[in-house]
Amino acid sequence: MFILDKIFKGNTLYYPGCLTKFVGKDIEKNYKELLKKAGVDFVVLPDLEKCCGSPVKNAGFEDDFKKLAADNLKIFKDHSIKRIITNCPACYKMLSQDYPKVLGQEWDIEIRHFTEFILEAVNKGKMKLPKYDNLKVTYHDPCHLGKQSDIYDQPREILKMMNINLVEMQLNKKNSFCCGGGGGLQSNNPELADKVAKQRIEQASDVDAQIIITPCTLCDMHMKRNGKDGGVSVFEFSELLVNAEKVRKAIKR
Amino acid sequence: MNKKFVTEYIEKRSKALSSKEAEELRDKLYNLKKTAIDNLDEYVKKAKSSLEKNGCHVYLAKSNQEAIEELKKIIGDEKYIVKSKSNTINKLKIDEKLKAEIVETDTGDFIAALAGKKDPHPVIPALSLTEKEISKAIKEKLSKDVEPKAEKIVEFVRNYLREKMLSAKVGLTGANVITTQGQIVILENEGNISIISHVPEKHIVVAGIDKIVKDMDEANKVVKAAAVWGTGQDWPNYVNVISGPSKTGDIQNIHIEGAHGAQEVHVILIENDKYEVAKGKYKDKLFCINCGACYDLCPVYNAIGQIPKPSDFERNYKCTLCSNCALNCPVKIDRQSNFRNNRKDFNKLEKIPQANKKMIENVRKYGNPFGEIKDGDTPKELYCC
Repeated sequence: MFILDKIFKGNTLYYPGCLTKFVGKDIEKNYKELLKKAGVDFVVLPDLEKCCGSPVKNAGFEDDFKKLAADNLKIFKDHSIKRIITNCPACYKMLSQDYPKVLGQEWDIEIRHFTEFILEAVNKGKMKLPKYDNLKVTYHDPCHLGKQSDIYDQPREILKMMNINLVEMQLNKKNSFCCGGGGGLQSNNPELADKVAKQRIEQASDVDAQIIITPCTLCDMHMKRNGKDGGVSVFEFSELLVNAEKVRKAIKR
Repeated sequence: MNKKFVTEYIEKRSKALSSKEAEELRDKLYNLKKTAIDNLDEYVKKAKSSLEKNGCHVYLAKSNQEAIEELKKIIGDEKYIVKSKSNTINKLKIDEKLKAEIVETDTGDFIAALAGKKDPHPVIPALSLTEKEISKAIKEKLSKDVEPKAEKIVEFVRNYLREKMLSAKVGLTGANVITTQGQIVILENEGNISIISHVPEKHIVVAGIDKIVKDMDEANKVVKAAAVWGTGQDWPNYVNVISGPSKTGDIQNIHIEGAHGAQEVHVILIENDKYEVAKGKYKDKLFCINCGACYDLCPVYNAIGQIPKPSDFERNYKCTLCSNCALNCPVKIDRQSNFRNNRKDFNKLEKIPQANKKMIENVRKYGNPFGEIKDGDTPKELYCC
């Protein structure tokens, strides 16, 4: 039955994105653990899959982007991938919006962002969330996930389900400010990228948030580095779900 | 970053127009501006002919230089002229090129000129100056003691400029919109434009040819958007609609030009590279109504006081591609795509930032932006993102 199911329904791929896979390895581990906890039968293709093309497209290499999309399509088809779950907002935006544009109807793979997946899993009773009573958290919308993909509510709902006291920064959702990490700014203009990050972190301090949470490895790494001296700790979304002890310890400090 | 300014702006804007109304207006504006730019040549010809029929003198200037030559001829030997805020005129650098003294009559422009510190924001040139700094500049430049309070500063500026505006012979303004049917539309809150476009004998209007729309119905939409997206207002305090020099037929139905308002209206329409741009892939640049909304929500502008610019190699790569500018543009200029397309153009010219060069080499060779990664290793240099 299971085998037949797989043949007809195809495989679910966990696609972490290059930054998570090669640099944010703990985050990748967290997300894999979450998939296992939810009882998802998934595959990974770490050595075969290629970059989604987000940095390539952003840097103006459109032909390379198209080639990456076509290459990935072939790899995914070879492995009967019918659904991809990714935690990376940039990959999510590329796979769900830009791939269909360059690949047309051939691209028929369902794309889910991890926050959508978690909310569904919790609602179906397949996943349990830790509780953080009275923790004051603000949520940073990653540009690719929020204003570029309209995913604003799912991550916020999950936070509320964890008994978190969610406070919004004055600039939130469609008006939210970038962390400064995207568009190539970190590599091409690191000082400016840091300034923009500090500006964003200050907005979290303004609303007395204890922590900033964001479901983006890039935003997380960039803000963590720039928030070291401030009073606000930065966490990637999965850390809150998987590393409850670590988070609680960090806040007590 | 001026957080108070940004949050108040967002709040006012959302009250001025619901998001549904805003989206509808954006679509209409995009379409009407696109039609205008796609038919630029025809629109310019029609506007010129209509304005002339209304009694205006119209000059088509191929370049900023030609516009300055026309200005010189019209201004003649006048010692000073009174001027309103205009981004088109700013680009002419007239204070260096004209003999006449230029008196800035917009409060923000006047203050910014005194302080010698002009913010690049198209609507709020004194945005980055505090009351104290302004009071200090007035003391230094005009030897007057003014309490560092907004109200007192405005009172001082009003009194200082009133006499100059009333006695000037030439008023110089920009235009927010010009219609193919011969109307010039200039909006404002302060009232200085109403005075300097009506009181001096000559009113000179300088505008880019991209300011032309079909009719007043379309012009009203631009005015609405400029108010809502520009300052979060529902409608500007004043909308000046000028169709020609003042006139009267009160005596025996004899047509006399020059009653109470301006006796001459001169319109200088500047072409520059706009016909060329209108045919190319960056034509949406010409849709701009100069409201400044892209500045207000740009994280980079808020951090460093300068907005990234797609066509400028240095300034392009200061953009994080967050898309705030594109999503907040009332005429739907897709700056997000423009940044990428300009990067594409730079790449073709082999003008590629070092980090991007490494990134693309790595992607082509290894399928990821970081390069060759052996089992378990973590790359140190992150050429991406």
